[in-house]
Amino acid sequence: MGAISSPIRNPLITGRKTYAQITEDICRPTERTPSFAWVVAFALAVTFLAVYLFCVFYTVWKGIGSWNLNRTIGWGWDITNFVWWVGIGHAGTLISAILLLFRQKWRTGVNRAAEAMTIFAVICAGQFPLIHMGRIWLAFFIFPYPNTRGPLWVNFNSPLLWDVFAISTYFTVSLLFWYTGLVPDLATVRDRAKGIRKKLYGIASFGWTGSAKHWQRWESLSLILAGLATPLVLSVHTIVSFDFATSVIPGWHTTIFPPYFVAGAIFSGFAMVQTLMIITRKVLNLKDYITLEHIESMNKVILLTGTIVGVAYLTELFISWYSQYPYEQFAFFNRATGPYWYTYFAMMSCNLLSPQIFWSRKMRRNVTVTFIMSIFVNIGMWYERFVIIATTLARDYLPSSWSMYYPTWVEVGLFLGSLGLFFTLFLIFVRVAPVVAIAEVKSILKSSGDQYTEKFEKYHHEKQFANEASDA
Amino acid sequence: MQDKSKNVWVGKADLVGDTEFVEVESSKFFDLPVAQELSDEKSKLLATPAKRRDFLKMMGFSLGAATVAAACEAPIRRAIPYMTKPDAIVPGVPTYYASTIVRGGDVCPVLVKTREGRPIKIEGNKLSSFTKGGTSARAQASVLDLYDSNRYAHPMKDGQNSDWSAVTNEIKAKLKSARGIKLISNTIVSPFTKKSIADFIQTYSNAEHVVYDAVSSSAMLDAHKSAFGTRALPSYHFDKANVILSLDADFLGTWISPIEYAADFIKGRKVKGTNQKEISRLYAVESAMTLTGSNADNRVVVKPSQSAAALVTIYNRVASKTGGSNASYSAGLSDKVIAKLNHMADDLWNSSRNGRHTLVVNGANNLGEQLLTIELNRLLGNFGSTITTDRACYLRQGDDIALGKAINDIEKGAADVVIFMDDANPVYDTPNGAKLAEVLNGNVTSVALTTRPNDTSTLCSYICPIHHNLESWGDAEAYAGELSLIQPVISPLHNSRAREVILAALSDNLVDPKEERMDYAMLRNSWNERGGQKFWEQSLSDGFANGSSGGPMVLGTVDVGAAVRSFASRNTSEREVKFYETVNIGAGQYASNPWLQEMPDPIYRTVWDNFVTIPVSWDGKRTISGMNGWSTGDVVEVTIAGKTMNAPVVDQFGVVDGAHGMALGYGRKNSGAVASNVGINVFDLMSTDDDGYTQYYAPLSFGNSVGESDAIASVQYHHTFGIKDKNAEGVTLNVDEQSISAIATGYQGALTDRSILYHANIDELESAADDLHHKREHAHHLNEQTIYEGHDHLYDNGHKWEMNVDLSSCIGCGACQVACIAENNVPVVGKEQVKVHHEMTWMRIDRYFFGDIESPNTAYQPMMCQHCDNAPCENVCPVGATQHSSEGLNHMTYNRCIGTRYCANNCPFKVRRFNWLDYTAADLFGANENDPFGNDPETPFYAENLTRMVLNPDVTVRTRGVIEKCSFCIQKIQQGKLLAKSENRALVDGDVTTACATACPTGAIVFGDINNKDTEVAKLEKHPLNYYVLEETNVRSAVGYRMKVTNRNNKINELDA
Repeated sequence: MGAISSPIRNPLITGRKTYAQITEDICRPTERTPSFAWVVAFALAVTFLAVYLFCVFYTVWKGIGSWNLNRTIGWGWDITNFVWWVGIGHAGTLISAILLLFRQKWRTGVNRAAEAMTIFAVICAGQFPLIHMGRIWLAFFIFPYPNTRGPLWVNFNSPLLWDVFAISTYFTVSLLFWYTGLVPDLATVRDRAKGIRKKLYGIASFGWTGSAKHWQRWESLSLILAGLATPLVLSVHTIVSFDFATSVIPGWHTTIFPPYFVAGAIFSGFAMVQTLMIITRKVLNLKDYITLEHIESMNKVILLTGTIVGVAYLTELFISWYSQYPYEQFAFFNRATGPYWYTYFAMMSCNLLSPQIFWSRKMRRNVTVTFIMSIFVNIGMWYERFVIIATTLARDYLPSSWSMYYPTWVEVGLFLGSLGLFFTLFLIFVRVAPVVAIAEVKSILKSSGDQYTEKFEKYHHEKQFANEASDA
Repeated sequence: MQDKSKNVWVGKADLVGDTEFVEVESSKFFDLPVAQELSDEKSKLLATPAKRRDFLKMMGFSLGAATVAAACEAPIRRAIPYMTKPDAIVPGVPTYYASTIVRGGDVCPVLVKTREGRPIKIEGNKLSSFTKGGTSARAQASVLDLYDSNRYAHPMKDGQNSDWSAVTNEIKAKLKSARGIKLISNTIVSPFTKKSIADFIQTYSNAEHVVYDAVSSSAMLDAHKSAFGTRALPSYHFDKANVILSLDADFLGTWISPIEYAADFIKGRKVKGTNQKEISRLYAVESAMTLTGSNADNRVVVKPSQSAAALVTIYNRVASKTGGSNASYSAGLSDKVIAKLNHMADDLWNSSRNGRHTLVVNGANNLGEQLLTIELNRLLGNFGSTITTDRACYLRQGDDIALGKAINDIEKGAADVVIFMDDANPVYDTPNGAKLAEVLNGNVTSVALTTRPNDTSTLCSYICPIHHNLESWGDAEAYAGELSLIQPVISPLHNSRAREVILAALSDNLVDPKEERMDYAMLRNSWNERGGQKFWEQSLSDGFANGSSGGPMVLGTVDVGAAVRSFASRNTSEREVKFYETVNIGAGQYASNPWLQEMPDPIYRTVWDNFVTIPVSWDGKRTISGMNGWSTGDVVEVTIAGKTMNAPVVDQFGVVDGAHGMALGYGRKNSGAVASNVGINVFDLMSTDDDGYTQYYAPLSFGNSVGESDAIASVQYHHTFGIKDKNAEGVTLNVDEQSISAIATGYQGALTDRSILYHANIDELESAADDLHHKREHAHHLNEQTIYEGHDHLYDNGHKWEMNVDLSSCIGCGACQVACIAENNVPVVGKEQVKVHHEMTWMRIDRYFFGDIESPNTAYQPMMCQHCDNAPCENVCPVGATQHSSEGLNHMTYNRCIGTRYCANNCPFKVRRFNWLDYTAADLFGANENDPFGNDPETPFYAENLTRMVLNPDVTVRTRGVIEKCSFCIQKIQQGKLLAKSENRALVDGDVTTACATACPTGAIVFGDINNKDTEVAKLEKHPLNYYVLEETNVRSAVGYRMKVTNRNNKINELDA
């Protein structure tokens, strides 16, 4: 990170931290006994995870008939959840890769947690395409492996197959990126630990010694992975959107989907980062590292992407009218005013209208508002996927086949359960690994720590004064 | 080895065909089936001891011939090789036998397809003089009844299993000491059975045969008796009539001989070209919407009690023109209805002149109405043209009055032995059922000759199980002199006997007790007078023979004044409910068949239930709602004929407030797992008129909704395609489009701009054809705007299979749908699964209403996989489980399917079906098998070995988690190809056809090779009214539809506008 930061930027680390304090603040949560809040949260998350496991078992045992999907609506909450989780999984890589390339210093405070969230979200997302299969025991058919059936290959024309590659690649790269970043920090924890913990962290940190060579290699690897991950951020949701865009169903068959989906994914990803970070900074007392600056920056991203998504919604409406294609026109008319009008209303208000309050700086910097907004966006984005998937299918070409769809308890259980899976993983993560990237935060301390920014400010002020004097 | 077509040889010896070489070569490999090899005595193989490979082959063969033709009680588990292979059975090759499906007055000459001795499919018999190869849903489904696990397997006494000799002797003893004997049956069309009844009565002179029909034509028969002197029906020729008026006679669906009438009716409705000026016109005056009413060009709804008033109105109008005697009666018909009826009468009268013909049919069970109908037909000059009397119809013989008398006799003790024949179920399906049940519980010996439990048999002291139709020998005479034969296609599965044998045994008339099939011997004897052995064999092979028809019936005079006198005593209520017969389960006699229970009602699109129909109305703004705000599935309190009950309602177009409908045939008790406790029994709500004829209606009033709203399983939620009415400003609009949204007013064209259903009235045919042509041209233009080159040329060679459906010919009877289920092993899923839209039917018949909201027209659109050449389903499957064939077929590979349902989502026609649960009991684990009847049996329906015998071995039974869909009957295509190949010729039109096309009584579905320019389907593709559904989406579907053409009387329509 550059040592120089614009003097008009606010500090990104507050509390006049020293390097030692940073290490202490961030490592402490992994070393002390869990707080009561953590225990309660974990118990709750594991309960939901148990619900999830039961619902998965029930679905596989009984069949997809335990859901309320029907001959007209073949995808419902399952694929809605899939796309929602994948979308959430976009923020981490965006922060770590694209913001790294753009040299955004504020990313250091949140990138570790965001990346972890990405990985957990993709894990959750990956569940649904599997569970939704009628014959999950034959799921390996979707991989192009050499076989004796001909050999029989997968259908490379199918967007669902592209999904398999897109998601698995994304997951792999994100995982590597995240773990690479973790290595120096795990070594830090190791150095502070004793006994069995020391051993385990020793294994996990691959014998990191912090030598210059290590750092050099680590830097290059991070950069390479960032380079690899950057196109993935754009490609994954583009490909997920192809599931719909390449179909013939009016309301799905639209070319706007790739950018619209990517923007929506970043939008929802950042919202989820906000949700998690606001809780984490409070519970783990990391307000000096995840500051209002960070929150405001992310709110700006939310405002931007939310507006892009909103423009996409309006463009869709316009194009459907402009197309003069009866099926397309009806599909959008039905979305907005048909039997599922309330989902469209929820989507529009949560995604397009509500983020507009972030035009106000005061709102952007208000933690409570931000937290509520992040929940709104999460809800809105879930509805967006539901609107696209279920309401489109419910009334497509042939009126005779129109149908309605409401989930069963199994489907609701799977969704809530996947939240349990996500939070279980996240809560374990905050216990075992530094939630903030220690090494990276330290790297910006001298440019963005409050004691230094004040100094710069003073310096600049004096310099300006001196310049003005000399000019005179 | 020396095949002329073979031009590869090994060495000189092979080339010249050296005999020794050939012999050595041919013994190297076993090309022939083992059975054939073993039967070849000259083969050297027999001389050599069996080797290991022979053993394996034997074993393979025995497993292959898994089911053995006759007498297998547990057919699936035991694999027994034929010691001597029956001539007719070649494993893998179906054999067809001519037979006749008879159930009371429903007669359908058929060919029964058997595989390895198992009947698995019913096809129509084209040699039949009246059905001409058509079938009905009921006939198609009858094969499943054979394998009904609820059938009686043994004779029973007081509910305990017994044996034949004990039961026969005991009944015989009772008969001998009986004060009176009543044989109660539905219509019997078999001369053979009638003869054995006559023989029985000869022995027991105090015996009486009483015939009744659940849906009675008793008054009609009596009217004809009084007018013609013979108690039989004439033949109707719907093909010869230019204008047809049906007064509550559902001749397309259920009335007397619907298969025949439907085929004839459609003959007069075929549209050959756009310059055609006329097709026949159908008027319907009815109360509840029937199949006939829905197919009518103009339909007038009256309350059931007003049927006589409607008839009198028409009669008087016609009579006033001929100078015939006027009848004086009118009963509160509205002016609009009278105006419509007068228009109909005028049209009838005008059409009966100048060599054109009309026909009036009446379904009322009322003597006066029937007499007046005869007189009306006489005035219109229909006798001799559209009604002929030289060929008496025996399809209905029931006598309500005789049954009433018989029940009284039993009650009074004048008769103390009652024999119910042929599944007759009067405890359930007559208004006096409750009384009869009470009597049966008293000091009466009751015997049921029945195949399966029903409401009556469960009250009987003795059960004598009879053969199923497909196990029986017999004959049927639907029309005088036109005999069709019934021959068994499988040995009796249970310890049952032929009804004739039982009667003969009871009356000591058995011809030869040692004969294995006494019924055969008796039938053969009864046919001796008709012709010799050669005649018999030919008749058996054809399934059909001609006998003597007797003379024509001669029309006497009808006293109109007397006929209408009884009308005056009729009461009209504010609201009435008409009890109508459904196409699928009839009056309940078919209720134990799950295929029919799950066949959606063509009009109401519901399964597994009956209900009260209520009208819908348009509020002038943007809501179409059911009466009292109720909608389909709501349960409300209704009082019918003084009895209050909770009944579900269905809100439907074409229903008029005051004239509601409720289906017969539901609410049976003690009738096995399928039929019992499905819906509400309405027979005990009916009454008889002054003459003693059953009246199929009752007064009705509504109470409040009871809160439940999910009582009905329906397969279609949206019902309309352009329903018109005036809005608040008086502008006529498509009001279904206005009301399509939840929170906004819809826009015009939301539905009707879709290229799904095209319809036109005959007078605007040319312009409609023009419009269609332009629309199709536009679609072609759009489809050309592609960056990809088409690949149509790939299908230029070889076969390219296509289908063509004539929407004008499709009457919605559902025969195709049940045929498809039978042919393709489509599972039954049960009401609860249909409620969540999990029905599995590969083909469905979409029903759309269009036209005026009060009197809409109906279009039926059979919809199955369209086998698109640009199939959207194919490219989205991640594992390539669905692929296109070089013959234009869209294939489904069940083994490869992992069940992502992406294909189903991407199908514009929504014809792909997913196995949501273990519907076919094919899973590894038994714990999650679907239970279609909701009665939690020990062995689920599909796990029963007996049920599984109905499965077509050529079609894979699909497991849970895979997609399935219409395959254009790929197995039949393959079979046709193999046949042509074995005969060393090219395929010709007719070699290959699908189950739906074969089943259709009206020829609405045509299937064939479009690359062969001589096929009908290739010609129909060029028909000016032909179109492809959603053509502009460029999916390039392979099912053409021909525009629905109606022949509305605009004068009547103007009254609605």
